[in-house]
Amino acid sequence: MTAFAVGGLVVSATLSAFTYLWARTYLVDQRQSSAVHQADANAQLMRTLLEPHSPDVARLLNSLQTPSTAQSVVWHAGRWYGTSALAGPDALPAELRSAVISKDRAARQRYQRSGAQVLAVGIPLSRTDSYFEIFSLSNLDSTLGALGESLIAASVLGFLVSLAIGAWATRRVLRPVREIGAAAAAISAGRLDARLDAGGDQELAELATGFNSMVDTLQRRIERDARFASDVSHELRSPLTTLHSAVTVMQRRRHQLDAKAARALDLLGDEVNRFDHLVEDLLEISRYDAGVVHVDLEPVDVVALTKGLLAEADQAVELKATGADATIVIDRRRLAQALRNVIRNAVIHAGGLTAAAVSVGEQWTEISLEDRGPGISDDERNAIFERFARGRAAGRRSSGSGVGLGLALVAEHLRLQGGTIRVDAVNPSGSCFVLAIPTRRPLS
Amino acid sequence: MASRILLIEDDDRIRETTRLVLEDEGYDVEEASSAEEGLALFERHPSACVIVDLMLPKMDGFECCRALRQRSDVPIVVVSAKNDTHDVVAGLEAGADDYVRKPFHAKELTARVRALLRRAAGGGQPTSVIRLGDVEITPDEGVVRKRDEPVSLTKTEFRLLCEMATHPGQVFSRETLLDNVWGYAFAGDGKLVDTHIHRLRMKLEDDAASPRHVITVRGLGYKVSP
Repeated sequence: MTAFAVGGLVVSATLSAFTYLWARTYLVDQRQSSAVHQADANAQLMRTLLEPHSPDVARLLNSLQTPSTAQSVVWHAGRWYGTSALAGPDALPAELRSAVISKDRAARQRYQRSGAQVLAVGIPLSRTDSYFEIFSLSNLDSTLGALGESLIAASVLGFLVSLAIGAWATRRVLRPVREIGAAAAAISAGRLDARLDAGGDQELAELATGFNSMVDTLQRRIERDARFASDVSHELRSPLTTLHSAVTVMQRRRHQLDAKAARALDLLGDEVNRFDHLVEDLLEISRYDAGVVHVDLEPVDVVALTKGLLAEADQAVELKATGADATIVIDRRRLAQALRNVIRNAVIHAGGLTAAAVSVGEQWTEISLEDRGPGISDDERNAIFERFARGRAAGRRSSGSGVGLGLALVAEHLRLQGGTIRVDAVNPSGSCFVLAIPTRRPLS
Repeated sequence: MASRILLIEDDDRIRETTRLVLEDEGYDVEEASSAEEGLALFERHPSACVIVDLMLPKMDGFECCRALRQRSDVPIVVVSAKNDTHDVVAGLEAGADDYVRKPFHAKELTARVRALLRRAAGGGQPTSVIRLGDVEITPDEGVVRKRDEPVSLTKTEFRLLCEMATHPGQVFSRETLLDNVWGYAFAGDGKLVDTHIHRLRMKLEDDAASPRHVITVRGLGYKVSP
């Protein structure tokens, strides 16, 4: 838009400048030729009137038909005569005087005199006489000045008009672009039903139709992916349910089995659980990928929740709670799943938790879960929250080592609620996972 | 005598292993592989509790819940294989009392069933009549009247109402209600409470959209106004 206005300004300024220059040349030429004509006529007259040693040259000069803007000066027999006191040899430039008097040829010159433009025309009359006439060009100056001013005004007006047209045109041209931008932003934010209005201009309608069909394709693809995840989940869940129940029935009769069969049953049970967690994490994380995640906030007592989850995982550590009221607004299911995954990670890789704490602060609520396992090296500290990272277990599938979706999901679950997870080193060895979520109090 | 449970599930393997688990817990189990078959069985021989898979051929689990509700206040547990809560909420709105998701752990399912049966058996209820405006609750008879007309509540709805009505004006968080009414020690699903509150309002309020008896306390939970 600015470019358009500047372009308008350049065009109108250039046009004005040309107009001005052309008008000035034309007017100056006109003025000069009429001045030369007038001077010529007066010179002829003087030539006939002027006698050698005329006694009253000044009176003769005054009888000439000169407008008030012109003054006549005569060089006669070695003396200067002028129509006024100001009109003397000093009023004429030296070059002009010498050109006319000494070189005996007609000449003219434009110059500044007491701050105004003047034109002097000199015509030799005889060997001893010369006639000069000085024309004021101040009229011309003021005409040109007025012209210049009105041209500048026109340029400014032109600039403003082009600014206005530019703004209007830009808005009109950019409106569809803005709409596309807004629609694209809405789609990125997960509102897959955002579409452009395909009515209106022919060309814009084509753009809108193209955009809409692209989004349709995208939406179908995302929905297909999400449906695929859901279909897979259903297909995997049925056999998993059967496996769970079958293992439960066998575990009730574990004492009837011999040592080998009992061990095999335990392994089977562990693997079924692992498979179960894997499917659960995979489904949950695929929902993030499909962009179909909605946070579900409610007031939850985080101390009670953490206590319950520790008991569920048979972690006999005392929970240290600081802060008066532990009820904050969170997504309960997701926080519970995040905590379960961190606890499970500690059980699998570090032999279980050694300490647990909940601190509810003004701004942040932190849940710390500490283990005395092998710890996590500095360069692995961030990588463990990426998908399929495996930490130390990488490459040597130890008992129940996860495929590394669990902690990535923890990070996603916390991020969804504006929280974070970090892992600190513990002396002499071990890790402390700290889940931090903003302390939002229920409305009361 | 062992409680009889009706298990409606179309996947043969799941049905069989679930029966084994429930029998291990000491229940009698009747199996049905379709909603139609299950409803016919229930008609002949009402059971103490029904477990229904939501995805069934022909008549689905939601329909099945509604059909069961028309004839009985029997506790119903629905089984969902989907991850989204939409399914579960729809099941609860169709009249279910509780739900489990596949793959469910046998422990989890039996815990839900046990809690429902314990509640159905009653006990621990106050005996005096409670009045809330035009609503009258007689806990020991399990009867609720609105302007002297009896209102038909399921056992879970009734317990939820009694739980709150014994302390009118007190705010109950969803956690507390899950704990006291459904027997979840922790980490239950608040939607269970929300859908039951909704069902209670549909039955008790003149206008469920602007309730006078069962009030939402934003950000905290629910209360019954005295």
